[in-house]
Parts: sequence; structure tokens; C-alpha cells
Amino acid sequence: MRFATRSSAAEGTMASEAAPAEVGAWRSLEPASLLVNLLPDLWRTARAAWPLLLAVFVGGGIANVVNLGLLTVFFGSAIGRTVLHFLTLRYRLHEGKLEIRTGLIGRRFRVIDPGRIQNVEIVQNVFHKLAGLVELRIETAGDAGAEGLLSALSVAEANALREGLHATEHPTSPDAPPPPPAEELLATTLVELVGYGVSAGRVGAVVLAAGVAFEVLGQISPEQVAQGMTSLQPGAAAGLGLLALAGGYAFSVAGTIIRHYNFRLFRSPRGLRFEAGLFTRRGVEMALSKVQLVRVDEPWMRRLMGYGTVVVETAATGAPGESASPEGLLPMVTAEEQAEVSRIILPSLDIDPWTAPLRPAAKQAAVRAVVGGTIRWGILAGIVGWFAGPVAIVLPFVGGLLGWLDWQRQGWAMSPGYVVGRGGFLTRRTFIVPRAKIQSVHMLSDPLLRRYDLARIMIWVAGTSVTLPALDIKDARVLFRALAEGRAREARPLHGAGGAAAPPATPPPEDAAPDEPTA
Amino acid sequence: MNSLDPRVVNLWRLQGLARLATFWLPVLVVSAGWVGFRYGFVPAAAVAGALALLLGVWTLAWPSVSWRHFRYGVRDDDLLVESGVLFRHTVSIPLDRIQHVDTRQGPMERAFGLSRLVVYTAAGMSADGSIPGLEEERADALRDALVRRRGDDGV
Repeated sequence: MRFATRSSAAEGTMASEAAPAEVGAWRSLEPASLLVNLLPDLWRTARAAWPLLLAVFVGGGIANVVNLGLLTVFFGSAIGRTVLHFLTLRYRLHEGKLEIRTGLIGRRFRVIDPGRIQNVEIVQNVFHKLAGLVELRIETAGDAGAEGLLSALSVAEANALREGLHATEHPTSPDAPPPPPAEELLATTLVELVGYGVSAGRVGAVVLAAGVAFEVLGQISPEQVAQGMTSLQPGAAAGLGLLALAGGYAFSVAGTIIRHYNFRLFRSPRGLRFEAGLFTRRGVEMALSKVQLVRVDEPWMRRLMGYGTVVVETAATGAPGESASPEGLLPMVTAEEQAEVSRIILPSLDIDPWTAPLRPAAKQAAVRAVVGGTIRWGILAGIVGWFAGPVAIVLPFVGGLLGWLDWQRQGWAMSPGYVVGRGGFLTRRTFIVPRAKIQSVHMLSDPLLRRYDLARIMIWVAGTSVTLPALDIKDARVLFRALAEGRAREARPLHGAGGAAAPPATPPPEDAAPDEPTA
Repeated sequence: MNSLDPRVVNLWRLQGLARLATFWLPVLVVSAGWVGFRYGFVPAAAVAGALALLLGVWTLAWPSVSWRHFRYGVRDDDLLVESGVLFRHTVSIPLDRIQHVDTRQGPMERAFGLSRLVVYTAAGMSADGSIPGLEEERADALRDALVRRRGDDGV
């Protein structure tokens, strides 16, 4: 990841040319959307109906006629859906709101208030690219998926709509100077993406898959497997293992490059814009005031390379089928840049989780961490031991050690504006939550935790949650009370330089009188 | 902090007995039959009977323990709900974060004149706080009081 602060309005592939949106008039999708939407829809239908397609190719007789009939219905309905979507979808900017109406028999009319928009995503897949179109996805904090989905607009129209929605929410006088162009802040090189893919590779998954495949083959054809094993030279076996590992890594790297190719982060007058993708290029734009959580993930291999991944969450829940994916993701950020990037995303950040002294997890939580690690890895040893033999006996000890190392690295701190936390040995995770965004605070304990005078604090912001390290039950009560107090939740200005990191605030004394319930 | 309406204890007992009759007893009978074929019906019936008795006692006794551990209160800035006997859960929901509030009544709750208050924030898809066993008017009053609060919802 390289830092750059140059004006690049023309460079962002999705940020150029903005035609003035015709306010108030109903507009329809581009005619080319028929083809752009139909091809992926047909592909999806073919994937869903593959058993029928297979039956048609290999089958015959009356069954084939039935299958062909069903396929005609499936593909016919896909074509019908696309045509109906194009013919009935209309949208407009009206009285400062985006209105979308669609449907013929079951009609839907949706109004989206710009103030409720969490992020705006512009997606351009291969078909869009060929037709010179983009898809505009507008996400609010509602249910999963894009609440406003305009599947085929010209780039100029999409940008005009985006700017129109922003102008409604942040009106400026006609005499005001034009907003500064978008500024490129970060970019990721291809080499860094390869590093990301390699460090995201699932060695365990490859080993497990190989083990399961071996077991299945052994059940189906034990003689052939036994024969193969006896004739297989040790060198060839090692080669096969390496090939499987290399395949797993190659798969991971390819997926990373397809998803994050040419990643760039821009700062625009509307907030941050993330752009990435090889075949399907996505550009996500979010206002800084909508950021709910910043998290830095550092798997051990990525950390050795000197990098981490910064994840930015808003209250949006992602596109259909992608609900678990974060709204903004910076794949490779160097360790030195992580604090600076966090300050760009959260300008009012008043604590630096990388340099501020963090309060450790409770001492008595170490026993629990070691026992938990031993049990988890003990279960793994049971599975691995099935084909790896007695060597798996070391795994529970490794698990216990990892649990202890993990406990050692846990910590948390609270400043007037933020809660930060860190944990993990193999994969280190650091999170930053603005207190102004807290939706609810939970204190949890079970008989085992209480046995060691421990409790857990879970903090929910819109769309996601974080859990602090296990705390001494007295500390947990004090922290719960401090977080539950409303005074820190006053909307803090989410702009400005941020300033120097403040030391973590000390929670109020335990004997502070709680507010008396009024009902 | 407030306790739930004491009538909820009997409601929970009744709901527990309904679950016992419709799920656990059939499971016990089928299991006893299956075990009985292999090891004899008398010991199987004895074990099943003992288990049924244990479940029955649990179903009747647990609600009062659970009721004693449930507390809620509306404070100046938040709604506080404490619940759970073995797995204890305390939740604080800032009043200005509440998106909407439901009151719900099933047929059994209606028969007891009770309501359940369910509080939603923008945190997730499910409810963030739930207070069962409220007297109907109290639940309605609490619902109206909670939704009347205004402020930045944090999203």
C-alpha cells in the first residue's frame, strides 16, 4: 500500500463525467440493460437448473419432453423478469428523495431519504463494461441487500444521481466555490495483492480437504488406495502434498486479484471511496459520519510481511449474498500506516490503539484461555489423528500454548470518544468503535466465567458487534456502567485533525452511584 | 429496578408443561420403546418415568427462580434489562438508539392478561431487548414512553 495525496478526479474509473440530473422527471434504465441484466440472469438460471440441463443432454423419451418444458419455463421466466424489470422500473429525484417504482402486478414504490444512506456502490461487471454502463446500489441501514438498486445506468447518470443525493443532504450556495476534486490516498500494488492472497491461504483447509478425500477414497476403493500408497515413493508423496498446498495458495491469490485488483482509496467531498476489482469493478462511497467500526486484521503471515487489512463497517448489511462482507476493505496497509489510515477514517480518533497503553485481560482468564485452547485443539487432534497417527498428540499442547499466548496479547482501552481492543496471537485483531455509535452494551457471564470471577462485555453498533477480552467481574461492572452512561454518546464532530493520542480514560470509581430507574 | 408481574411465573409453567407434553413426553415414550425392545420394557419405563418426573419438577420450579433473576428499569438515558440464572445477561439500550418497540401477546399471554415488550435498535436484525410478563397497560405505557424519545440514532 502506498500513500499518495494527489488530485485524481479523472483517474477514478467511476468518478468522472457527471451529467446534471433532471430533477423531478421519471427516468428509466438504459435500453442496453436488457442485455446486461439478461445474461447474468440466464447464467444464474442455468446454474440453478443444471440437473435438468444434464438430464436433457443424457436422457431421452417422454422424460426429456417434460424436462425441456420445465427448462423453457425457467428460462422464459428469466427473460420475462428482465423485460418486465426494464419496462416497469422508473426512478427520480423528487423533493430531495430518491423514488423508485417497479412492478406490474405487484407494484412497489420506494422512497430513500439521502440522510439515511449508509453507502453508495457503483458496480461495473464485464457486461456493464461492454455496454458502457454501471449498476448503482444504494444501501441504508435496513434489511440485507441494496435498498435502491438501479441495475444499468450510464456512468454520467449514476454520478449525477450520486451527486444529486449528496447535494440534497449537504446543500451549498450557488456562489460557493466548486468542491475540491477527489484525492487518491492509498493504492495497492499487484505484488502486495499476491502477498494478501498468500497470507489469506487456508493451509488447514487444504490439509483437511486432502485428509477427507483420502478417507473417502479409502472407503470407496481400499485396494486401489493401498496399492497406490505402497507404490508411491516418499518424494512423490511430498510432491503431491506441496502441489495441493500450492494449488490452495494459487486459488487464494487468484481470488484476491480478481476481487481487489488495482485497489485505490480516495477522499472526496462526500467522504471515502474504495475502488477495486478486475472483471467486476466496485466503487463504494461512504460518508465518514456513517462509519460504525474500524478493524485491523493481521494474520500471522501478513504480519510477518509487515502488513494488515483494514476493515471499515457502516450500518449497511451488504449486497444479497454478500451480507458478511465489510462495506470498505483496505487489503494491504503497512504496520506504520495503520494508525494514520485509522485517523483518516475516524478523524476525531482520540486514542491510538497501537501506542496507547492497553489494559490487559484479567489474570484469571489465562486458565480459561489455556483450557479452551487445549479443548479446541484436542478436538482437532481427534480428527487429524484419524489419518496422521500418534503425532496428533502434540496438538492439544500446542492449543494450550496458543491460548496462553492469545490471552497475553489481549487488551482494551476507553477514551472519551472511543473504545479500542486487541486480541489474537496467530491472527491479531484490533478494533476501534466510536462511543457515539454504540447501540447497546451487554454484560454476559456463565457459571464457568463466574467460577473465575470473570465477565464479558459485548458492544453492539449498527450492523456488527465486538467483544472485549474477559474482564474481572468488578472491572466489567464498572466498564458496563461507564459505557451505559449517556453523556459520552453526544454526537461528536467526526471531522478535524484528530490530534495526539489521549491516554485511555479511567473508568469511574466502582462506588459511583448508578442512576436510579425511573420506571 | 422492577420485577416482572408475578403472574408470569404461572404462564411460564404452563408454557413449559405444554412443551413437555408436545415434545419431551413423545420423545421419552419413543426412546423408551426403542430401548425397551433391546433391554426390557420395565427398566426402560422406569428410566423414562424418572426422567419425566425430573422434567416436570424442573418445569414447575424453574420459572420462579427465573422470575427472581429478571429485572428491568428505565433510567435517564437507557433501558436496563437483567436476565438469566446460569447464563446471566445484562443489557443497556440507550433510549435515543431505540428504533421501534413492539408489544406482543400470544393466546396464553392474553389469557393471563400479560404482554411482552420487544425493543429494537439499528444494531441487528433481531430484537435487542425483550421484557416478558408485563401487565398489559404497563406494557403499553412503557412502549409509548420509549418510542417518544427522540435523538440521533447513531447510524
